[in-house]
Amino acid sequence: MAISINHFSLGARNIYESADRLNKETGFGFWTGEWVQTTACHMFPLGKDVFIEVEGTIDAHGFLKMPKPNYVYDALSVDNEYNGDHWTGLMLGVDSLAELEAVAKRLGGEVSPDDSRVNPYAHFRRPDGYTMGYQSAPRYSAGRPAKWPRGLPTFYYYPDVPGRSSNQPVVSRPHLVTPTGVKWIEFGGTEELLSEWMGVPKASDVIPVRFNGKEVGLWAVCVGREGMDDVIIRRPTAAASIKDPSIYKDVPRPRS
Amino acid sequence: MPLHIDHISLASPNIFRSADALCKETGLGYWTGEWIRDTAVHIVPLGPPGNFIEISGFVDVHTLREMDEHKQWILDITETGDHFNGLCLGVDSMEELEQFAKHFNSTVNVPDNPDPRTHFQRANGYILPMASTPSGKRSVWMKGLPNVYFYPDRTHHSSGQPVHPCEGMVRPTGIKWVEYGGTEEQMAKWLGIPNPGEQLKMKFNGKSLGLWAVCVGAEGKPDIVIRRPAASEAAPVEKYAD
Repeated sequence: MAISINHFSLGARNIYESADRLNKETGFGFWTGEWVQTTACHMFPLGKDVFIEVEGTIDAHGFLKMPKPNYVYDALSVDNEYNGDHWTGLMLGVDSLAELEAVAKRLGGEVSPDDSRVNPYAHFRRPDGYTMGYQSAPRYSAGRPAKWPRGLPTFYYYPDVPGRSSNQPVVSRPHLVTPTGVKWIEFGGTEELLSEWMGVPKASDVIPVRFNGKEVGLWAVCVGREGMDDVIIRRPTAAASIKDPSIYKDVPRPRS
Repeated sequence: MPLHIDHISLASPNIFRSADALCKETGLGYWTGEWIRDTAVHIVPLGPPGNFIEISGFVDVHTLREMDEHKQWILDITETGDHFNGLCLGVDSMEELEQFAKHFNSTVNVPDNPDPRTHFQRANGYILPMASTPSGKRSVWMKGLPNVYFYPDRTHHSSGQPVHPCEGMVRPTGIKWVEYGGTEEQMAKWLGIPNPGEQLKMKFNGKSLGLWAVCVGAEGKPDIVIRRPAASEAAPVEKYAD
């Protein structure tokens, strides 16, 4: 099974402010307009089919009606030097539905349904009407096994690689820098934990990952830049700002 | 061009959903990425001579940790869905704008703050300069009244930026008329002009103050009438009387 880094989720209080700041920090461009239900993303292609989604809640009334406590909201409420930005997800990719189903089976969960044609508003959409048709695993509709902490990566299968968020044109702006791909990532926890989750002997042989022993989740992404030094995008991982993880129910996100 | 309609604000609980729905309803395309502080807008150009709808809403729910009157007004007028919450008139010079400020017994909000966060910004880094009147702590939109703008940079006016393609797209040919609450006499008194109905293509329906409908021409298609309740239906203007 070929496992690769697919994308990263960067939770933001305000995706517009966060994306503008990330552009100034890295020089990378982004595009706008993708959303699902109460969430929207600004997308930063990183090269080689990988991207960062700067993700936030864009529906105040939707938020007010959400069950509380809200894990991501509470993490983003903790102040830091990045206006509350936290890494909220590392997303790995596989190349076929069969591989994704094998991942779900191994980890005791399910594969999210492929209902993007009949239920398009449950999926990420773009202003031109394009609806994302990816599937992910494992989904734990009956609750997440205690063995696996939050912050471990989800696995994705994107059948439409040309339509993938990494491969859309960014908005032009001055001093744009061309990203040349992810060089390495820094992850919390141990290599043993991530390797077991990925079902591989050694995770760092499969993806370019380093471990810092802190809370489980993504902590940094190093990206190459054409004609410039690499840039390291550091943000705290969400789990680092949660005082008591036990108070949060593992509610599946409203999308595949 | 004398006093004219510049743009229309449509308050939304979710600007992504509202823009998608409006596009499906009308075939009018929109562009994304403009924002200021805790609010973003999706822009729907309406055609010549340069009008647009801004679909406006909160994009930072953390802003609700510190409430104020204006934020509560936005929540109130979006709780049950989209409401038209602003008619924004335009003039062609700062001198004209200052004359309106004098008429309003107010001042001009001048776009001279060097902090970009105090201005609308776009995803391409553009910072939008605009001046408006009347100024004041409480927006006249909350009273159901229009304000007046001067955009010194017409090239980058929001009405003239390219939209995302969408299915069944139509080409808008400009505003035909707008339907407003109250009476023509009330509007004439507010603006200090004798015939706002004719000059601004306004019809008056006698309901609570604010915008209730906009009619837009469409190339090769019947005119499009976009109806939404005025904000004053959800938050009565009497609540905001000085």
